[in-house]
Amino acid sequence: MKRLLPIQLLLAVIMFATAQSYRVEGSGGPLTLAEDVATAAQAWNSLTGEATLEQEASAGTTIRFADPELMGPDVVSATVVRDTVMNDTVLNDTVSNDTAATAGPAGLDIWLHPELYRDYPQALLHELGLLLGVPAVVSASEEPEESVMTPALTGTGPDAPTEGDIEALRAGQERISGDIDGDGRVDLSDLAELGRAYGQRGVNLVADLDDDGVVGAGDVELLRENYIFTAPEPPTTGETDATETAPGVEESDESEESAE
Amino acid sequence: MSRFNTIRFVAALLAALLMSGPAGATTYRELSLPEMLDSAQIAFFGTVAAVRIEEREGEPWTVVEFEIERLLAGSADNSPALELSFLGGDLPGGAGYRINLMPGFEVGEQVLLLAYAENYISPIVGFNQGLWRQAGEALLDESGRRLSLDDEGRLVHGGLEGGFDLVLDAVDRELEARQ
Repeated sequence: MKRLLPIQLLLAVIMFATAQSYRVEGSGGPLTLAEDVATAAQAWNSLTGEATLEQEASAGTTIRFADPELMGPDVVSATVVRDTVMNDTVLNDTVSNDTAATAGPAGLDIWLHPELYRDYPQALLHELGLLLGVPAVVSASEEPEESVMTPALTGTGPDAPTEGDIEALRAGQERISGDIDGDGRVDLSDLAELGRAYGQRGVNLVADLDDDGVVGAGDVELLRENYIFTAPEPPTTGETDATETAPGVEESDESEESAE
Repeated sequence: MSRFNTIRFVAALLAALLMSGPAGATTYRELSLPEMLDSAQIAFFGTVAAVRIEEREGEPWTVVEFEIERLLAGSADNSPALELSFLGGDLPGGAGYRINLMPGFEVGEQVLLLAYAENYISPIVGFNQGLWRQAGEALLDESGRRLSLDDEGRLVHGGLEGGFDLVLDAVDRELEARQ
């Protein structure tokens, strides 16, 4: 029993760290929204074990319908990072005054197209996956990704989070700060990823290390703090310089500073 | 971190910044090229001339002005410029909101755009799918796929062939055939 306690504590810490709450505003579309969201949340909860999505009246994230005429014919869901109280004109006309009063001042909104979202159950899984910290999968490949985190929906995508999605969730939980590509180290490839993402704004961007909604200078600084400098690979032929640091061995700042 | 490491880091950062590409969320129906061409009410190749934020009924809209270099469909008045509005942006004082994956535009960049005439949160066909940015001789979509031609001269996604002008000609032909 005593040996089990630390493990239970660890699990509890992980659950607490990944618990995300949301509230549902169901007016302006099908009456089953709360039920649909709960089903999608359950799909994540049952598969991850350690992640929890729960509905809570005071949650900062609101899932609601938007005006279909504003969403257009193609957008199924929109993830909206807001810094201010939103005007009712954006939301469906049937949104209550109570909702509008509690929309700000800052947080996350998930807007759903009331006529499209049920045709694409992946959309809710995708948005809830984002809440849990799973990054979106945007690929240049012509092969469709087997993931609920793909923003382009085909209607034939997976109806539950895939193994890859669960792996991405766990990798995110275990990732060290700055390890954007999840390979266990903070190096040039992470810097390249940050370079690609620089300037992006949004929720849960994998390169948004300081979690301020923008990939910017703060993230560069965080990455810099954890950046691992290694010596270049030695030549494969000929003699190596005996004074060089061995490949893969981290240089210490002290030795460099004394060299300077 | 030592000065030497800082210099190496900055050099590596500059190298990394030379590469670019997307990420993010929001979901949309995946459209094929023929579907996008069928839906396009406005199509053009042009240059981003200006970007500004407007407040409309309390909402921030990012208004992008394009200088049209080649009109392919829509915009009957043949105006050399066209404005498209995208919901979201930062209002003065730091207020505002942003929609994930909403395309952003830089003044001076050149784009091929298929758009709706209606005022949706994004007027681009397929939210962001009907947008290709010019990169040298290539037109790249938001996921980095190149708009190109197959062996029979048909438009395809993700190929390697097809000079910029040939691809634009093919888009023009396809849109003309639909009118």
